Amino acid sequence: MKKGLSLTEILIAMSIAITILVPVVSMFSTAGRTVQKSIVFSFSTGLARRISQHLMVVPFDEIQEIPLPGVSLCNSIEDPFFNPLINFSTSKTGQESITQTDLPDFFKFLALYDFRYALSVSNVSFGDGDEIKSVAIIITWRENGKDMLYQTHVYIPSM
Amino acid sequence: MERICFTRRMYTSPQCKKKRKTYGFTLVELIVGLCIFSLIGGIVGHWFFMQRSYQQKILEKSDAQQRIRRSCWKMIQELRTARTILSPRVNPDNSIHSDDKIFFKNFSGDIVCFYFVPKENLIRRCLIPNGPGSPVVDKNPIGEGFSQVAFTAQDIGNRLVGIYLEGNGAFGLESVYLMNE
Repeated sequence: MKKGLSLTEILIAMSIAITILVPVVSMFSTAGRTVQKSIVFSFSTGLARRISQHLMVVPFDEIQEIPLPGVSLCNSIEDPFFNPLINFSTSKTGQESITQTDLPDFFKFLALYDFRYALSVSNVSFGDGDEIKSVAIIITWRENGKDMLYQTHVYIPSM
Repeated sequence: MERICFTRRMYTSPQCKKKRKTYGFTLVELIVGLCIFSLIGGIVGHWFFMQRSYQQKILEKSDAQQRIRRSCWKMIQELRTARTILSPRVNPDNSIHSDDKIFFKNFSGDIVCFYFVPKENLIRRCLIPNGPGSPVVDKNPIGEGFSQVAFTAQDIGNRLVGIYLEGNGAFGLESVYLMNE
């Protein structure tokens, strides 16, 4: 009797091995991607919350629509919500914005996902001069070539 | 009766030759097999090792993000209902002003401080009571694993405080509006 494996046996063995290995491999990458997604999503909710808090101190008439694709958080030297970001000195000269020069690590993270914000503003008038602005805060970013979006609403009274 | 081959002459005899062809592997076959096996094993092992370290790294980042969220939440809850911010306040030229610690007065008149300890990479809370008594530092920190912390006075009325936290490749960017200022 001749010992050894036939081609059919080898092919069957390889098919079984591949059938087992492929889900294991994809399990690893799927778990990693899911964790990464949750990190980015968690960060974007924080950004929306930050804008909602800033809107409380923005004069009512200055709350304006910012259409999509929105304003990038990186490289914008001055905007009402994110730049300048920090200033450890006692004058305007020490202000630091989210730029490659000032905050390289943070800039790299934001640039990687291209985080942007947009505002959709709707006015509601009550007739006697009182108004409310319904502001939709939209955070967008790019993840694995896909456009992602997080949205929340705040209502700002004119009083 | 089965013949056992001991010597070279016996081993190369027709009977033994036939037996050698039928059973076992030659040294060359074994070496080639081992080479292929170690090559595939090495690639697969390396891949698994890389994946493991990647998973570890990403989990650490996720934990860091969670710590940032939890710490921000704890501080925001208390800051939101503060009476007034004592420090940091906006600069005389109305520009924003940051510090790695923040002092504020709550509605009981106590002074509360959140401060960053760079050597231990953590944020602690200290309460200076309104009246007799010495400052009390909380036993448990607000959060740990931070490499940079900044509390920033954002608006002229000192009602808006920005919080920037960084640690282990994760970032937190939050703000809190003081409702009672």
